[in-house]
Amino acid sequence: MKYYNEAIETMPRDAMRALQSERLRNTVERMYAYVAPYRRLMDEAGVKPSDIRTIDDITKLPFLSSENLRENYPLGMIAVPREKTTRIHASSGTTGKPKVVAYTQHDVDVWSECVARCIVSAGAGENDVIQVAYGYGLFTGGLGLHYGAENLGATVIPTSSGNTLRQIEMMIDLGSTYLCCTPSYALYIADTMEKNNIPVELLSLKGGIFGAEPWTEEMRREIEKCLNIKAYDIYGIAEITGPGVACDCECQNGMHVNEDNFYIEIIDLVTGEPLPDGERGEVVFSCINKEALPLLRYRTHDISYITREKCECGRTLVRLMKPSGRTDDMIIVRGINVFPSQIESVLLSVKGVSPHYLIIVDRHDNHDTIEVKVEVSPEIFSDKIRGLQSYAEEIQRKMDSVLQISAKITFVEPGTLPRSEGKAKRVIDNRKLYT
Amino acid sequence: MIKQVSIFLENRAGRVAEITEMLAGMGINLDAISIADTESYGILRIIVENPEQTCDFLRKRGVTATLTDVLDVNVRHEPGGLARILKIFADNSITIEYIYTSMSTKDGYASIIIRVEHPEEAEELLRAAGYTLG
Ligand SMILES: [Zn+2]
Repeated sequence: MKYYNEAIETMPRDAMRALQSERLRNTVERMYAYVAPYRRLMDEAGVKPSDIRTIDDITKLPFLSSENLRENYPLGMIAVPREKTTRIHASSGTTGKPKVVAYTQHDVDVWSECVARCIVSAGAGENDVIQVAYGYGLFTGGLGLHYGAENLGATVIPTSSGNTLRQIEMMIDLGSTYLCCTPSYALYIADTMEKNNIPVELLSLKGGIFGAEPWTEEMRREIEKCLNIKAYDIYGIAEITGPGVACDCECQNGMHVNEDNFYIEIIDLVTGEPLPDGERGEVVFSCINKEALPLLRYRTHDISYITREKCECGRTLVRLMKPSGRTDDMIIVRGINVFPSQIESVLLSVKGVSPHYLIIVDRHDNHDTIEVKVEVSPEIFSDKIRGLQSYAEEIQRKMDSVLQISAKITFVEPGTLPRSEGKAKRVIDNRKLYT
Repeated sequence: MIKQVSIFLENRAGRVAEITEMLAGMGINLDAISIADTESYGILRIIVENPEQTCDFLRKRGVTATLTDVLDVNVRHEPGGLARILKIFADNSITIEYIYTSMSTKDGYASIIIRVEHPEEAEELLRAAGYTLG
């Protein structure tokens, strides 16, 4: 199988634009009619549904961001009655509340097809055994890949993340041919095999579909060498649908965007003006074939560029290159989105703890670690060792329950961490994930 | 009962030396000293002539320091000297947080620094048993 949906994936550009135009018109009409906050934004921008005739008119529409989801938490932006939704997912937001996303059965079906296209584009087919080692749950990774692989008719092994030795055992015993997980977890699996003297020859793996966190070409080469596979990049964020928005093809030179469903623009970071192909800016997506949450011109904060040059694989779909950074201070640790502001609010919720902190993210043995340096304050310092330790434990407990991350807390002398005048450096990321 | 100066120590090479140098620079003599440490930080505890002044001095230099009430008990420097005191505490259910000793002995007596949860009560018991305290 070369393509999952040949008609769409190799569609001539003009036909694609006609399809996108029609879908955009429908979506804008529904958003204007059923989503009051969006109607207000369109009215403020002085644009009416009738102004949107072709896909090029999309630039007349206002931008949306995670802020709009936060203001309308949890489901104030959906364009269907709640009863019509069949699935909820969530990812962490900049404050305590998560970004909640909803799907109708149509949306889940479209999403599954997009993931199936991605899996085929990564060289797999219905006869493959696909091990899904992304986390299952509110996170879109696990169920996203799962439904896609099932839609394709492949054999799915839903191991979810963690329990690495059993993961490896299943992979060997069931002859998994494709592995889906975060790239750092793939490296961790490779490390675990080496440490336990499990030869890579026991694996039947041919390829891996990796995403949910930034990774470099060096990491790709390392994974390919250690696991003796081809490693494919898959892109997606929960607000748009989850994994499956775009994926590498055999050429591994940019991810083909499923642009019949997710229209992509690159905009200037400062002016918000659309940029021509090849120029780097913020990635903006519009869901033009979604019922429940068809966010339009949603700013992803990812920085990258696109190309419509002909790809050797035969697909005509626009390609999104690997993101090279973020416009905000979000960090992604083991596939979980973490904002410094969330860590700050945890610290401030512990009485007496100073608001001055520094987050240090590192990677040891392909395992991400978070250390939070906190300034000791006279209020929490006592002559007893267990005094400060109980504060550290309280902070750790809260981080674990609010952010689902385990962090090491280190106390430092007061006045030694950068102050928040202007833009203080709150995060030191030693992982070098962007090239 | 006397005041101990308790000082936060960041886990960083040379930090103890920096603080003791600061004290030496001010002509502050250390009568007793102890360091407790964990993997990520430590606590320096010292007994000095003028604890309030020393604590202020350190705070002005950005050091996190606090005053703590501790017992300064004169114990005969002989076998069983400390054991007898600990027995009094045990008999009266007084929990000890930590103990350390001073730098010098005088007239056959050693000065022992003891931190307990309720120092007033402990001091009364020791005085009743005939001990002298600083
Ligand atoms: Zn291609």
